[in-house]
Amino acid sequence: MRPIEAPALGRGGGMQGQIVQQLGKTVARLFGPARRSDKAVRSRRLSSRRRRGPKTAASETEFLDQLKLIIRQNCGTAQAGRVNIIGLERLKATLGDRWSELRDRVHAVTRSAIQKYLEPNDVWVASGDKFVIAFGSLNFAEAQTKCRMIVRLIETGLLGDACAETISVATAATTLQGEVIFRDLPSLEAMIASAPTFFAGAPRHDRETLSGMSAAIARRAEPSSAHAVAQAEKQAAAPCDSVEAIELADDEPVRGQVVWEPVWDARTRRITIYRARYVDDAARESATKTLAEEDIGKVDFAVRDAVIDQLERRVTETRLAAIALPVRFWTVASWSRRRDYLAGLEKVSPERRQLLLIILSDLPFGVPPTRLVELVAALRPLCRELIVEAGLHGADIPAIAAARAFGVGTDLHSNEVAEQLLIAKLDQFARNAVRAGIANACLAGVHTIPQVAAAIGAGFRYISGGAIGPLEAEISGARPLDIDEIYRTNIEAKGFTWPWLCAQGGRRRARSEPAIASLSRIPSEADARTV
Amino acid sequence: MRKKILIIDDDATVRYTLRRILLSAGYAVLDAPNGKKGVQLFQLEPADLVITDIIMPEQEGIETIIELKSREPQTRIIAISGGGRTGARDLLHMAERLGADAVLHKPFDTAELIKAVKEKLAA
Repeated sequence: MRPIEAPALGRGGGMQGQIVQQLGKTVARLFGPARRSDKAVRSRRLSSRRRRGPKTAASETEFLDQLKLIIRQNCGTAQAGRVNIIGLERLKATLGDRWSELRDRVHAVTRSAIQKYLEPNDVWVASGDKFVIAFGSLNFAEAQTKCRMIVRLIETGLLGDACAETISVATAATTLQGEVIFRDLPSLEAMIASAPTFFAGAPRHDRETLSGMSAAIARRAEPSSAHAVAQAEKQAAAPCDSVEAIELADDEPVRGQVVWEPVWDARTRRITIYRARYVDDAARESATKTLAEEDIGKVDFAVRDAVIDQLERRVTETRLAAIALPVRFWTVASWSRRRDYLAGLEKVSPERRQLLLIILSDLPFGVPPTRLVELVAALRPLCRELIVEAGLHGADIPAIAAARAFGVGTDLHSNEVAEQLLIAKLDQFARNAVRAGIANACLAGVHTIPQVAAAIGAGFRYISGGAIGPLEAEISGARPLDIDEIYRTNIEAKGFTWPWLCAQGGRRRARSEPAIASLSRIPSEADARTV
Repeated sequence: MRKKILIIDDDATVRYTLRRILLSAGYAVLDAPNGKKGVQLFQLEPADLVITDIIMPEQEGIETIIELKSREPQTRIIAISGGGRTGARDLLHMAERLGADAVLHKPFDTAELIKAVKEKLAA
């Protein structure tokens, strides 16, 4: 089956309607329209069956809505290779008149095969004779190999022949302007040959099954199919048309350095936390969103190691401050990478863990609550408290509350909003946190005094950014910081004097003291001592 | 001659409401949507009394109070804030320490506002 390309978007109608239409055309070309007549039968059967994640759509519109939801839950893109469609139309054609009496058994075998291989992070939806699977924590090669294994199991279970090739399977290769573009999967043998990582990590019985299968495939291979296998291998080895095109080489080091951003506790009026920030050589926060997922992971691992190093050194200090370790969702979403990431934190002693906060950031929009609970449960034992960062829209706050995080935060660095709208959004965010029962709202990336005022007014407890204090090359420790001091530093930087604080007995800035450093400059040791 | 009052608030509804109340009470009223524009307007037409919100975009209330006082130390200023914001009281306390002659926590009623205006204009 040759790859299908979705047609270009038309000009009429809303974007949402256009995406549904084009997605519908794509799916219809692959598998034909959904059958509506079996809705009642399916509903009755499914209601008496214990569910493990499957969702059944009653109509094509519902199916497409659920497909879009799956794609959106996978970070808004098809995440090349993670979304796959298994179709039974070829099998149906093979069975011909017998399809009607065998359909239920075929579906039962298919569901059983899918459920055998899926993990809690994975989502699938069935509609008619097609099944859409989104693998939540596998990379491209792993997802495709697993999908092929599912198909082989179905073929073996139904026809006793792993090479029947009666089940069609396509993978979402990329998304372009809201269109999902699918392409065929290469053969299982080709994928096994090109995905040693997954093969090595598979459970023992699966490895034996796979090696047995590949031997069987090799024995049965005809010259013509050997050519087809070779073609498929070539296709599997070719770079995929993924949107994640930028990738560092395995041995390429992470550039930049980790610096420390003071976080102000508005309740106690003290700097009590330092948040680790990765900045590139120009001392600006690295635009890690443009990096591939694996390289975001590299940055997060580097930050983790820097934090662990600081924890080892800080315990003997007299002015103890907590250290906040940010980790992105995609670094810990994959089970193998999560395992490696947590292994480093597990070496931190319980005593030092009392100084560690973890900030889980970059949540995909509409993250499933169960997924969040899973990640929070994995991270929380390794730190004092855990904060989850959400977008300024605050839509994920209920899920964060359900996961029982210590706090919910948002970062203005990654939320570009006009200042006129920002005040209302901050109010709404803090209010949503309170409504959801989260006592601590955190705001990062505050650069101006109006933003400080808005954050304090809204009720954020932890506030950080250039307006609170400059990034520090070395942690200078916990210290008191009154609200007057924050204002004084920022207002004096604009050239105004601050006589009223003197009248109240406050400190007057000496001429030799530097003004507040901007975020673009890492302060020297002398500056840090002065501040 | 009518006393002139400058209202500085980013909320158009608040500006409109205060304007209606103060005009009814016999005062001349000017208004601006943020501290930056408020200071510019004050330089063109100095007011006898300024009523300023604290939390505003571009230039918020405390900066505005400091700037107004530095230009015209005799300016009478009433700071207002609140509207459901939990941290507004802290900011109003700071405004009072930094030069505001009175503070009003939203929501306040008409009588409260007129009383504060009359007191400060009479002082």
